[in-house]
Order: sequence, then structure tokens, then C-alpha cells
Amino acid sequence: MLLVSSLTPSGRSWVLDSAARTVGHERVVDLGSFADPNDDVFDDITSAVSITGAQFTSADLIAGLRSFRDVAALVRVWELHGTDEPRAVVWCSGSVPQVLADLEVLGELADVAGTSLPSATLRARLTPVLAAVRSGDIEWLFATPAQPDAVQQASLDVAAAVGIGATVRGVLVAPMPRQKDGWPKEIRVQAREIYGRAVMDLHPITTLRTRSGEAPAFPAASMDAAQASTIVDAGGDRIFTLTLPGLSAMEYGPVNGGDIQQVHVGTWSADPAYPTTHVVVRFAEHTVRWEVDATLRRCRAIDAVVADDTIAVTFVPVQEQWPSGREPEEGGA
Amino acid sequence: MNEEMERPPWWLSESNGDNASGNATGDAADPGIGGGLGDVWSLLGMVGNMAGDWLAASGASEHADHGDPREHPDCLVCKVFVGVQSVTQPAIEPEQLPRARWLPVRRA
Repeated sequence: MLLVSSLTPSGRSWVLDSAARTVGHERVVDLGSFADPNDDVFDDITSAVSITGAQFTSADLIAGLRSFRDVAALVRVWELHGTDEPRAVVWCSGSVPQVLADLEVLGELADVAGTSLPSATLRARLTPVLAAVRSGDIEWLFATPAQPDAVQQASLDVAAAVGIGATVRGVLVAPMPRQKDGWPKEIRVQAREIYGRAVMDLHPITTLRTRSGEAPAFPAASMDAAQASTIVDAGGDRIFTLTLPGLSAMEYGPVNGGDIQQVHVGTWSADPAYPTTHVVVRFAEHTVRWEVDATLRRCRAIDAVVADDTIAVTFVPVQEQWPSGREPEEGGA
Repeated sequence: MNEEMERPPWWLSESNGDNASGNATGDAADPGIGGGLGDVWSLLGMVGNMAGDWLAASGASEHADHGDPREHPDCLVCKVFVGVQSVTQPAIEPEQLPRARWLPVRRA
């Protein structure tokens, strides 16, 4: 299934053309048309949430939250079209990274809610969709115009998407200003430069642009764009690195005209038995939580470095976490 | 010149007729990309009486920085916590987990 979205209305028809060329048909399913508060997916969500004892968590409140509407719509669309061949094209008018992040959170909610029947039911519906997102069975194709602020925001959206494990089929830079439409050379040259910058920033994600009024196909299969690894330096510290293509766009200045231009890096533990289970990266309006390996779970982060699209976090062992009193051997857990 | 100035930015304009399926229907009412408020995270805070700060401490919402919910009346999650505490006792004692630890960040 191919989720398709555009940062601005101007890119919609272009990216849908690209999607059609990519999958080989022109049928488009509108995600918004599945956002029905009477849908049974909603029933499962409200049932799972209401078991918490929060009586004021009415079905109306949940239905009023766009996140739940979009997540429920995505679940429904996946159940109906997820295995279509050729792949279904699903138009999303909102933020795909936001929907996918909310899907992930809702999955965690279902886990937290325990083994009750409602939470088990919800989990059973969410799990296949989450698995499809992580396996690449659900991909994302995205359009942004060749305008500096737009490309910056698009790049950060991509960084957020890959940070939650989604696969990005590609980014289409469209529309491009054309000479035949009367746009001055200066604007056309600037647009091409911005496109070139996007290609560099988003590597290895396929980034293409329209040419001569034609929207390109994105034939290349998706790949795991986010890369994480851990090395041990000469001093014995563990350096965890996470690369999020698109994150380097934070260097271009404040996002959305705001006054905040910073990448925040921290750690968090979902398990009280360990000091660290996740590295948390917050940038613009996005938060990426990346689960660390077993060794780093028993370590504590002391600082972080951000360079382009890569974050490096230095970890030191927490002595109490190692029963023998010895620090872990290199590569051990 | 005037005509040029009155023209909308090319990147905000609708697709032109050269595009075969030029039927762009921008949704003006749609907050669109980047409009997310993390409302799922907020709602997840509602399960705080069951799961403690497990989710709120994830660092994924502004609420994660809030300590005493009574001190943040503008925060939806805090309001919910206060509301829950006023109407019911938690079925399970909240398990206190550390909040996200933010690190000093250097630019290379």
C-alpha cells in the first residue's frame, strides 16, 4: 500500500501522477473518506481506552480527536486494501508521519492496557498495520515544492517518518517553476538549487523532481533509511549513533518561522529495571524514540553530539547494572 | 510587473493544466502537514491512573515536563490527571518512572 501526501495543495496532482506511474494504475483511495466515527475500529479504540477508568473519556471525545480518526481510517483502509495487487494508492490530506506516530502510540496504549479483551481486540487490529509499516508493505510517497521553507519542513517530516521505522518510497519535488509558464530564470535556477540540496539532505531516500511537466515514477524499492549503530571508543565509552535522513535541515534556520532551532537529545526508560531503554530525539514538532540494544539498557547517557543528520550519544556503564562489578566486554550484553 | 507581483507564489499555486490529472483540491480547512498536536499522547495521559507516568514520561509531549498537574491548568493531560484523582482512586498504584533525561547537546 502506498500512502501519498503533499506538503502543499500544489503538489497533490503531481504526486498522484507519480504514484500512478509507480504502481501502474490510477485508482486512488482517500483516507479521509474512511474517517468515520461510526466505524468499528473506533469502537475498539474507545473500548480499549475506557477500561482505564477515566469515565470522562467518552467516545465523542475520542472521535473528536483527529489522530484517532486518521489512525482508525488507516486501519480500515489497510484491512480493505492492504493486500491489493497492484498496490493501492491512498491519498492522505494530513501529515503521514503524524498518523504513523499516532498509530505506534496507540499500539503502545493497547500494550499498556494489559490483557483485557478490549485491548487485545485493539492490539489484534493494530499489529498487522504496524508490522506493515515496519516491513515496507506500507510506504510513503511525499511531495514538496522547491521552496526553501517547504523543503526544510518536508525533510524534517521525512526524518520523523524514518525515525519511527516507516519506509519512504520517495520525495517528489513539485511543482517546479517552468520557463514556459513565464517564471523568471532566477526563480527557476533557485528552485533547481533547492532541489539539489534536498537530494543531498535526504540521501539515501530517492528524491526526484518533475521535468517538462512530467511527474516521475519511483521504481526503486524502499530501504531502511534510518541507521543506528553502537561502537566502543578507546576509552571504553559506548557511542550510539543514529542517522535520520533529513534531520540536517534543522541547520537551515528556525522551522516554520519560529524561534526554536534546536535538536534535543535525551534518554528515557520504559522499564524501571533499566536506566535506559530509548534514545529520544525531539526536533521541530517531532519526537523520535529509538529503542537501544541490551547493552545500552544498562548504561547511562552523558552527552550528545549532533552533526548533520547524525546524532551520537555517549553512554557509560552503570555499575549496579553489572552484577559482577565488571563493565561489559566489547560487544557483550 | 504588476501582473507578476499579483501572481501567487508558484509553489502555492494549483497544478496547471499541463498535468494530466490536474485536479488539485487543496483542503483549506485541513491543518495539514505539521499540524499534529500529539493529541494521542495527551489522551494516553488519561491512562496515568493505571500505568503511572509510563507514557507521560516518554518525553513525547509537552506534558512530560510537567510535575504537579495542579500547577498546569492549561495542560489537557494535567487537567485529566486532576480530574481522575478527584473522581476515582487508581486501581493500581502508579509506578513512578523517570522522565526523559535531556542531555547537553553539542554541534559538531
